[in-house]
Amino acid sequence: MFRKKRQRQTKNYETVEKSISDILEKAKKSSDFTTISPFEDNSLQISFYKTLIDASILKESILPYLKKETTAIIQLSELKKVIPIEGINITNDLAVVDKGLHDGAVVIYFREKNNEFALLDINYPRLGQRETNDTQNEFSVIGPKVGFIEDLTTNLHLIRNHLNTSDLIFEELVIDTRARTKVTIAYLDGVTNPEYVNTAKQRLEKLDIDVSFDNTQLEQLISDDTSTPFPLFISTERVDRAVGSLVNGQVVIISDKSSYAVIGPVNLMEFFSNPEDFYLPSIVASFFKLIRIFGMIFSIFATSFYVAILTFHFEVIPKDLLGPIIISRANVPFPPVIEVLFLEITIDLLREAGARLPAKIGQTLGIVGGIVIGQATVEAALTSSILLIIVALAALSSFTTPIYKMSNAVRLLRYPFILLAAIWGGFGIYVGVLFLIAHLTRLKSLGVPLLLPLYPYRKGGVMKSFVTLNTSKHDKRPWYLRPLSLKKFSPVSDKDPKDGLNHE
Amino acid sequence: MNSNVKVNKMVSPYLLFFLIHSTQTGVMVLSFQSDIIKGAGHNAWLSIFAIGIIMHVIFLMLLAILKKSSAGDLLSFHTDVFGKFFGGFLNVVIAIYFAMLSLYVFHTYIDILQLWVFDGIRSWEFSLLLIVLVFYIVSGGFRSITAIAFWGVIIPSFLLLTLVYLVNFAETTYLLPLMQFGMNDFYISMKEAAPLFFGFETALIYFPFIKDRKKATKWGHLAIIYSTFLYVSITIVTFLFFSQGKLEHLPWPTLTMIKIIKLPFLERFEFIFIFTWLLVVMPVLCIYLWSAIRSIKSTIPKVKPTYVLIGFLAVFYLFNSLLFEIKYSYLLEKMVSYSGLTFIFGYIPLLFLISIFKKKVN
Amino acid sequence: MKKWKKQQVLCLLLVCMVVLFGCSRTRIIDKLGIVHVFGFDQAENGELIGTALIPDYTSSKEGGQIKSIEEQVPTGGLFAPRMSTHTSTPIELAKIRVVLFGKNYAESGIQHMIDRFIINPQIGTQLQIAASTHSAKETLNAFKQEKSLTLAERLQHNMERQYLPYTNLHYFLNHFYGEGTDAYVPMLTLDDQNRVKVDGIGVFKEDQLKLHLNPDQTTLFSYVKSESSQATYRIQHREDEQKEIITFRSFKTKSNWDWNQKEKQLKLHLQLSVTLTQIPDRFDLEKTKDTSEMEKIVEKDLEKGLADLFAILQENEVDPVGIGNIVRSQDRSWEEETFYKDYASLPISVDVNLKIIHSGLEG
Repeated sequence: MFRKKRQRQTKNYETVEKSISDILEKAKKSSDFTTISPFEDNSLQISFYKTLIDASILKESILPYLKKETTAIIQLSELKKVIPIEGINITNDLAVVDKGLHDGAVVIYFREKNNEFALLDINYPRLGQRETNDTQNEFSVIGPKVGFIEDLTTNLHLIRNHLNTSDLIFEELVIDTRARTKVTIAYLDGVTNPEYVNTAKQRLEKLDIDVSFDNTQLEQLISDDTSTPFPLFISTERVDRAVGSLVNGQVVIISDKSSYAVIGPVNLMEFFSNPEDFYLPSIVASFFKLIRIFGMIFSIFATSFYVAILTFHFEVIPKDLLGPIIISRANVPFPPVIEVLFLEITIDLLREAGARLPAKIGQTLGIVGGIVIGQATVEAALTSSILLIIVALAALSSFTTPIYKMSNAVRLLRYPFILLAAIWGGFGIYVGVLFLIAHLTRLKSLGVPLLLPLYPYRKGGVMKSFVTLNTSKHDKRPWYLRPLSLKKFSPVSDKDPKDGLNHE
Repeated sequence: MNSNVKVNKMVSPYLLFFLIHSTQTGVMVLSFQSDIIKGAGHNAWLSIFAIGIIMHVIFLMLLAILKKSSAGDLLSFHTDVFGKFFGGFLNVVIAIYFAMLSLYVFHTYIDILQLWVFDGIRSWEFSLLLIVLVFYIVSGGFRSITAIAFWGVIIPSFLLLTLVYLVNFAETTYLLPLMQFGMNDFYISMKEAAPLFFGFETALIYFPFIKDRKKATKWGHLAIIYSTFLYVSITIVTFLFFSQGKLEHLPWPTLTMIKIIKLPFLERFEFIFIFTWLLVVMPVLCIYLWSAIRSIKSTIPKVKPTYVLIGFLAVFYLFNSLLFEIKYSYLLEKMVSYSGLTFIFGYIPLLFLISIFKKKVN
Repeated sequence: MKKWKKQQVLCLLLVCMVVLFGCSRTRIIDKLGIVHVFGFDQAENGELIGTALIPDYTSSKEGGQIKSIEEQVPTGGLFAPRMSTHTSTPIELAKIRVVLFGKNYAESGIQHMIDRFIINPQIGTQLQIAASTHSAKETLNAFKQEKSLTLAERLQHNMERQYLPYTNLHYFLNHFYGEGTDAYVPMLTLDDQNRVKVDGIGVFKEDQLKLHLNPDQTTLFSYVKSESSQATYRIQHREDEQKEIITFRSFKTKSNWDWNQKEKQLKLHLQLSVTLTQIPDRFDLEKTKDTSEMEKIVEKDLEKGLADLFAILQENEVDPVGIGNIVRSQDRSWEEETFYKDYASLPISVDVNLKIIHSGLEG
C-alpha cells in the first residue's frame, strides 16, 4: 500500500535470535558444536564449540571435578565451589551467552531450567598460530628482532613488557559485525594529545564492516583520504618501533588476528626512518637516511627524465655522452617511451611473479628472468643497455624505504610521470611534480598535515626530518605534534677529565 | 575587524611573506632588464630601489584601507562606501582586472616555453595541461594555494645559486660610472620597473584569511624588502654580465644569462631554469584567479565558485587557441601595464583618502 | 556516483586527445642530424655558403663517421631548411660548438649573421667563434680529415693554458654590441701539411675583420686582457753582442688603467706574476742583484712590446682591449664619437711590474 519511508537498517546483519534455545538449536547445525553430560541422569549439560576451547583444560580441570561430585549439583552457583577455575559467570543475558560461546567458553546449564547459564572462559587463541615473528620484512642487522604475531594478548604482552609504565593505557573496542575482532588503542596517558585518541576511537566506533582481515585494511578504513596512493599511517611489525612511537606521543592501534601495528599520526619524513637509525652513530645514520630519500626521488624520476631528454631535449646531454647514447640506441626500433614501458612492465611482472613462485623454483627463475631476459633484450636490440641500467637501478631503489606501503606508492607513481614525460617532455615532469606537491599538501594523518614540519613550517623540525641527530638531542618530543608533555629525559653531560690543547 | 572566515580556513601569519613574494615574482623578472635601461642606462638598479621604497608606502596605505573595512577585505570596503550596487559593480571590475593579469602571465609563460624549449608544438596542448593543473590547485581552496606559494618560493631559491656562477663572468666597468643620468631618466626607468612589483594588491582580497594581523604586517614588509633585494641583485649581475649595447637587443636577458651555465652532466641549464620557473609562476596564476573568483562570489552569492573557475579557465584556453597572433599579446601587455599602474598608483591612494574620512562600520 | 563517472570520462577523453596528437612532434635523439661545427663563406654573387659537419653514429658501431654538408643560400635563415634536403634526419642546430667564418666573409661584414645569433634562443652562448685565414670550406674539409670533431676543444685548451685570451660567443657579442670595444676572435690557419692550426687572433672593426695579430702580439694582448693567462713569452735580449733568451710563463696578470682627464692621457699599470722557464746561464736566481736585473730587462722589453702593440692597434683604429669602455667608466663626459676621432693619437704609456714567483722547469 503506502510506501514506507525506507528506514535505516539496524546495524545487525546477522540473523537475530530470540532466545537462548534458539542459539543452541542453531549451533547444533555445526558439527563442531558438542554437548556433553557428565552425569548419568543427563541433568547437567555442557555445551561448547570444540574447535574454540582448550580441550586439555576441559579434560583436566573441569570434568574430573565434576565427576568427583558425589552429590548431585542442584544450583549452578555450586559450580563455583567445585570447579577450580576462576571467572565463572552466571547469567541469563542472551547476548552475553552468545558472545561467550563464540569466544571459546563452555556453557553449563540444566536441561530443564532455561533461565540460568554458567559460562567458563577456556579459549585457546593461539591454536594454529606461529610462535614468533623475526621481522624478515623490516630487517635490521642490529637491534631486537622481536615482532608482533597474530594474537592480541601476546602483542599486548610484548608492548607492556617493554614499556613498564603505569601511564600506558590500552583501550579495547570490538568492531566487526560478524567477526567481532578486538582492536586495542594504546597510548601514553599524560603524553599523547587526547585529540588523536578521540579521533581514532571515534572513527573505529563508527565503522560498519562485517569482517576485516588485517589491521592494514582497518588502517585504510579509518584513514583521512582513501583516494591517495600514499599511506597515511605507518604499519610495522617491530615492537621497538611501536614502543618508540608511543613514547613520542603517537597512538598505536593493534588488532587481533593481525601481526601489524598501525601508528598514527605520522609525517612524511618518518617513512624514511628505520629503528636501526637509533642504534648506529648519528653520522652514519644520517648518511643512510639521505641515501634513502635520494633513492626514492631517483626511483620516481630517473626513467621519466630519460624519456624526456631523449625524446625532446637532446641539447642537455654533454657532448661526450652523446656518442655512447646514440650508439646504444642505434638499432632500437621503438621510440624511448615504448622501450621504457616495455622494460618497466617486465620488471613489474618479474616482481609479481617472483612473489608467488614456490620457493625452490623461485630462485632459478629469478636468475633466468633477471639476467637472461635483460641480456637477451639488449642483444636483440629491443632496448638499449643504458636504459637497462637505469631501469634496474630505479626498480631497486624503490625499495629503500623501510615501509612496504610507501615503496608500493613509489612503484605506482613512476608510470604517470613516464607518460607525462613522453607527451610533454620536461615540462610534463614538472607539471607532475606540481600535482604531487599539491596532492601531498592536502593529505592529513589523523588530522595532522602530512608534510609537517616542512610545510606548514615548524621551527626545529626541518633538521630532524632529514638527519638523525645524537640520542642526547632527542630529549624533547617534537612540539609540533602537540603532546601534553615535552621533555623525555635530561641528558647529563659527562664528567670525564677533558683532553685537548686548552687543558694541558 | 571581524571577518566571516572560519578559523580552520585561515593560515599562519608567516605565510604572508610567501604569498606576497611569490605573487610579485612572475614573468616580468625574465625580461625586465632590457626595459629599464631605456631611461637610466647602467644606473637603473637604483630606480628599482626607489620603486621598492614606494611600494612599502603603498602597502601601508593598503593596510589602512583594510583596517577601515567591515570584513577586512576590499570587497566589503566597496560595498560600505559605494553602496551595494555600485560596490558590487566595482568588485566585478576588480575581478576582471585580476583575471586579465592572470591571463597575461599564463600567455607569456606559454610563449616562453614555445620559443625557448619546444618549437613546433602548438600552444593548446600546454594550455590544456596548465589549465588542469590550475584547476586542481585552486579547487583545493586557499590553503592549497598557500602551500603552492610556499613551495614556489622555497624550491626555486636554489636557482639563486646560479647567480654565483655568473659572477665569474663579471666585468665591473660595465656598471660604472655611477650617477650619470638625470632625474627624468630615472623616472622613466622607474615607470618601466614598476610592473615588477605588481601582485601584492591581491592581499586586499585574501587578508581576512591570515591569522594575527599585527604579526602578519611585519612579514608583508619583509616580503617586499626581499623582492626588492632580489631584483636589485639580479639587475646588478645582469649589468655586470652584459654590455649595455647588447642588452638593448635582447628580449629575454635573464634567460640568455642562464644559458651560459654548464654543469658536468648537464649542458644548457636554461631548460631546468625555465621548468622550475613554472613553480614560480603557478602561485601568481592561482592567487589572481582565486581573488577574481572570490570577488565574483561576494557579488553574486548564488553561483558556485567551481563553475566560475571553469568559466575563467575556458576563457584562458580560448584566448590561447584563437587569439594567438602577436598583435593581441602586445595589446594585452599594454593593457596590463596601464591598468596595473592606475590601480596601484591611482586607485589605492584614492581609496586611502576615502578611508581616512570614513568611520569604521562594525 | 554520477560525478565520479563524469570526471572519469572527462579524464579519459583528455588523455586520448592528447596522446593522439602528442606523439607526432618528438625529436628522438637517434633520429637527428646534430651539427657540431658550422662554417660560413661568401660566394662571388654575395650569397652565403654554409658548411656543416655532422657526426654519424649509427652507421657503424666502432667509430663515428663525419659527414659534411654544403649549401649555398641567399640568406642565413635558409641554411637549415636547405641542408635538410640532403639528409634523412632533421638538422638540429642546437649543439653547434664552433662557428667558423671564412676569410672573405669575415672581411666583408658579418653583421647579419651576428644579429641572427643574438635572437635565436636555441644557440648556446658558450660556443666558440673563430675566423680562418682560408675559406671556411677548406678549413673544415682539412679538419674532417682528422676524423674527429674536437675543434672546440682545440680552441678551448689553447685559451686556458696557452696564449689565446679567453673568449666565447658571449664575450664576442658583448664586445660587438657594446660601446667602446671591438670584437676579436681566434684565427685558424692551415699549415703546410694541411692541418688546422691556431694562429693568433683577429680583430674586427665594426663588423669586418681588420687586423690579424701574430702569436707574440697575441700573447701580449692576452696579458693585458685576461687575468689568468698562462702564456709563455720569449724575450731576446742583446747584452754585449750576445743574444740571450729568457722565456717565462705567466701565472697571473692584473692590469690597471689610469685615465688623466685633463690631459687626456692613458696609463696602463700591468702587474705580472711569472715563472721563469729559461734564463741565461750568467744569472743566478739566488742573488737579488741578478733577479732585479733580470726583472728590469724583462720589464723594459715588455713595455716596448706593449707600446708597439698599442701603436699597431691605434694605427688600424681598432680597440679590442676596450680602452673606450674603460675610459667611459672613469669619465662622465666620455662620448664615443669624439673619443674615437682622437684615438689614433692618444698617448698610452705602459708601466710593467714583474714578480717572479719561481723558476719552473717546464719546457
